[in-house]
Amino acid sequence: MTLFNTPPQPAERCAVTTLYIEHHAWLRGWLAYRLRSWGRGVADDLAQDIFVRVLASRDSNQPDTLRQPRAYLTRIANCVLVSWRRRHSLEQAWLEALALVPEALQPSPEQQSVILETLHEIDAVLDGLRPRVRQAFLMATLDGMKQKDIAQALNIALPTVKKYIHEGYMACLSQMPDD
Amino acid sequence: MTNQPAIAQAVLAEAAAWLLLMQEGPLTPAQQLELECWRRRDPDHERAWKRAQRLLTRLGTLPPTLARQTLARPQDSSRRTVLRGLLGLIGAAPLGWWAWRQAREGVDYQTAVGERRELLLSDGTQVTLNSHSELRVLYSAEERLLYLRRGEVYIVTATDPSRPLRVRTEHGLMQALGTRFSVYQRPRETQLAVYEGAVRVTPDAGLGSVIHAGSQVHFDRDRLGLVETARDTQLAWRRGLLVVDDMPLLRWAQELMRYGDQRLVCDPAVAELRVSGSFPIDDLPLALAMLSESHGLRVRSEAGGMFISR
Repeated sequence: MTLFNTPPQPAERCAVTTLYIEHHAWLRGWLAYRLRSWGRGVADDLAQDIFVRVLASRDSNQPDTLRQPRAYLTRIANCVLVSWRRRHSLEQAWLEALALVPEALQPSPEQQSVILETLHEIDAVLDGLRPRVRQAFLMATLDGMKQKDIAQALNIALPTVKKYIHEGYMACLSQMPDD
Repeated sequence: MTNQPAIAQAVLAEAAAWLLLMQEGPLTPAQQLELECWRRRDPDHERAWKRAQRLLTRLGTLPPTLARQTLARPQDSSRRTVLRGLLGLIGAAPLGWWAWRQAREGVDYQTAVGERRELLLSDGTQVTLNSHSELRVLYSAEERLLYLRRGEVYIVTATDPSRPLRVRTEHGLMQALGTRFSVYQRPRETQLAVYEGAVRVTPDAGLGSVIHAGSQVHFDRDRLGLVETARDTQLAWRRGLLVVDDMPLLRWAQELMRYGDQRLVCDPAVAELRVSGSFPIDDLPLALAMLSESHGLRVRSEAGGMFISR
């Protein structure tokens, strides 16, 4: 991982180490409570993710980290948790959808992992959209439905459909990196 | 990765407007030319358009139905995620396609409570019978008639232009104009759900209508009900699952009771509670355990059956 190519300066390393030692158990407990139906292992993995993020962002808000470490950790932990839950529910939905496809017609395991990764990306990009906007956008781009059919299906006016799809495209374009 | 400055929102909006135009139909030559000019006018236009092209490529590689079902999941699915992994386990259980060829005309097929059966009829039509169902197959030179005497059937029709495929229940007649649909006969009404193509439905004493893919309708002998949305998850029973989203508990219990002799009784206080998730239909104790775990309910055995309450 590129993250560790530049080792932290000694003082920083010390701060992060202290943070890790002093708050790791607390953070694991915090996560375990929120993920209680998932068992300890998930909470441990995510706690690890969170400290990796702390390491990655060590240059920007070091003073804050030290002054209010738990508030800082909680903020990062919430982000990690939200994105983990989103990934997780997407995978669940994927398995459910896949289960309804006859085995002979299912994509190969390799294709499946590529598709799932693309779905994760698109899902993250569409995350901030309102459900109706998201729905209209998916109907247009995935199902190839005509805008007037979408208007009928969602019982909204055609200009609204256009606005929604445009909004969806905007969300994608503004969050995509340049290659 | 190069760190270029962000593209102006106005430029992205123009690119999105082009995508919107292309979504509705192919660009005319004049529009294509205009797009070309727009791209050349500014390096950021070109940058935005490169992103647009990549987006179209990515979207194009996705299998439409699977991708939509996955991305269109309910946004708060915390309750359903509790049931993770289970679907993998049960979904993997091979049901197998009963390669059963029908030899004679007018054959009856039946399933016991809790049984499912897949059939391949002589014309290539595939039929799946759900629990406690009875289907009579009456093929002639003029038509292919399936008489559903009881229960539920899922049908994938084989094409035969000379002989229409029809399904009859106590309440009316349905004629396949497409390929995939299911029919469920209840005591007082029949439910028709169409997944591909279309089906013409005619109640015995009422006006008919054509139901298209993605829609379902309930009807009795006199009239059709409102057309509602049909979801592929309704067919999960074929894989031994009941997949529900926001279903009242009372209906959930009724659905599960189709697959076993055990009676389920709901405390009226929780009858309207909404249930979401995937449940095995062949393992009632497991389904009940999952329900109580994920929705905070208690289940106890009583003389009259299993009693579900807070």
